[in-house]
Amino acid sequence: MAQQPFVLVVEDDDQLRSIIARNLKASGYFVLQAANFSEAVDRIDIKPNLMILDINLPDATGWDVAKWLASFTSPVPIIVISGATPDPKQLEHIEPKAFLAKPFAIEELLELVQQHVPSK
Amino acid sequence: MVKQFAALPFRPDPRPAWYNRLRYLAAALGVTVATGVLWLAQPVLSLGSVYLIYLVIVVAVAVGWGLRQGVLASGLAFLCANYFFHPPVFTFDIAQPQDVLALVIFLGIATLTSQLVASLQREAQEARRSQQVTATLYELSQTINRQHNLASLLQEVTVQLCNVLNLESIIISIVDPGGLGRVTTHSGSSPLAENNADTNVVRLPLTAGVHSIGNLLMKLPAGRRPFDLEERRIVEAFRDQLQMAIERAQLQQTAIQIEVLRRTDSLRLALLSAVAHDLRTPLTSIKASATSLLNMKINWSEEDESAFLGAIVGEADHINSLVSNLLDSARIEEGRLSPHKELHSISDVIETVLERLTPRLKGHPLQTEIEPDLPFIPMDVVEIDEVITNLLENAIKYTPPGTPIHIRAKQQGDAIKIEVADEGPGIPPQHLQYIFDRFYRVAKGGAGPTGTGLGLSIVKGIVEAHGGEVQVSNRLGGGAMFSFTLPLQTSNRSEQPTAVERVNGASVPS
Repeated sequence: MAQQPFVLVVEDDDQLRSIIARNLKASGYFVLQAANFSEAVDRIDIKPNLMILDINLPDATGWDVAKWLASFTSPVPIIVISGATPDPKQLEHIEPKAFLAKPFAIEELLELVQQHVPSK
Repeated sequence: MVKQFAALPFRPDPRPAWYNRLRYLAAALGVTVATGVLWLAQPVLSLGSVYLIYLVIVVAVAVGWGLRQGVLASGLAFLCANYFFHPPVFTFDIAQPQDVLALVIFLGIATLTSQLVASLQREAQEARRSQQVTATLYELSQTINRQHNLASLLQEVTVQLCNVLNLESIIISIVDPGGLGRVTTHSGSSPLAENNADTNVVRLPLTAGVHSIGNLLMKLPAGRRPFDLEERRIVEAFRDQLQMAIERAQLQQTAIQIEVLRRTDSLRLALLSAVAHDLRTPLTSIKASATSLLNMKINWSEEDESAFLGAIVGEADHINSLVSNLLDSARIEEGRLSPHKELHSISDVIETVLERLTPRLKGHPLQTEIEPDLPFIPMDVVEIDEVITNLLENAIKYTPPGTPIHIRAKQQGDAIKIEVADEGPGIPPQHLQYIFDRFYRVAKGGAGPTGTGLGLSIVKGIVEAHGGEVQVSNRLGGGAMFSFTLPLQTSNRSEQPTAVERVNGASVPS
């Protein structure tokens, strides 16, 4: 199953994260989940093809995430999801492919994912 | 501790006429007695010694009784010396012309000396007095600067003024336009009416800028002469200082009011955004689940479908508990939380809550220790459900996944005690005393669980409305422990709104 594109979902709300994961799996993606920043850092051994990132994490700010992302040699495309309007400066640093405001319809997210990392 | 000031040394009142006459008499008597003694001692005295002794008497009289008495004494001494000791004795004739000169010189020196002595004494008195006035003014201003509470400042100052000026009584009355309310401070032996118009009552208006802010009334003891220059200086300097102190207090009050308004405003904003965030999180899951189910492109398994439906139900419950929290918080704030108490089993309530929270307890092993056969207790089931829900949600929210959460219920005297403990990081000790305050949240820098800061204040409000008590502590082995009691019998205390009103003293998050 190595051909499946790999998506990392970083979201602190367990319920939402598992809903997103179910949808991505059903749409043909390989999914890893992280509930917070440190889990995300742990799981990044394999570089994901795409990351879905909630910008308000319990253990990190957008800045921490931005710093972490800057450490990659080639950028990972990111879709930022957030309940609040994020600080434009933070967004500028993260340079997401897309920003999706909560609450969203799941097709919106799936379409964005599909756009950037088409599933087989 | 109010420092007591010594009374100001007052310039003596004008003495009555008889007292003055007595002093002249005493001066004359002094010279007479001295003459008698000198007459007896004449054989061993030279004329020069006689003059010197008279001079001593004159100085003593001037020191003791004053200038005029001194002058009288020198005149008398001059005559006595001439009559009794100058040859020819027992006449006012003077044999030798140079003796006339000696006597005149004696008169001159005696008069001059008594004048010098008397004026020196007066100056020393003045200097002492003015030094004391300065010290008194300094002490008063120190008092005024030291005290920042207006009421205690007025109290302290009235007592001091009363002592310093030997007043019978004093009253300071401040009618404040700036929201301090009316402050009236009284000191002294007899109460003083504000509208007193007696002649021995001195009334000074107090002003702030152009506004009249009150009055200062001082009653002098009967028969006391009016204030002299120094006393007026003290009173006026004191009034100026007092006016400044009042103005300062009013400005402080206004500043506090503005700050409170500002903070209330920012609190409301913070609360609104926290509520918005808290509502949006479950809404997001509901919408994502519902849209997943509606998505025709995916063929969901039964397990997936039930997961989505479960999420919708669970998150709807979550939203409902958030809304209940908000409503309860408003009720507690207005002091109209009135539990509908009926006898219920606390273990049933705990079970219901645990069942409902199961999906959200993921990863936290639950350890329940509920004493069997606990008696039924009077409670509002919906509200106590909310209390336990809030405590458990708190434990879930603030502890790392996987750490156990303990729930215990046991009888303790005539109450049932329920404990919710976790094995998380605990609560920093400096936050413990505020943790039940409205809007209070233990913030951890920029990131961390967000919330309205209402949950625990509601717990406290509800428990107190039931006549119980809430407690929080850090467990020895780490983690926080919240507990509350519910009395077995309905006490009168629970019917009073005072228990919940205290929640309104919401403290402002730091």
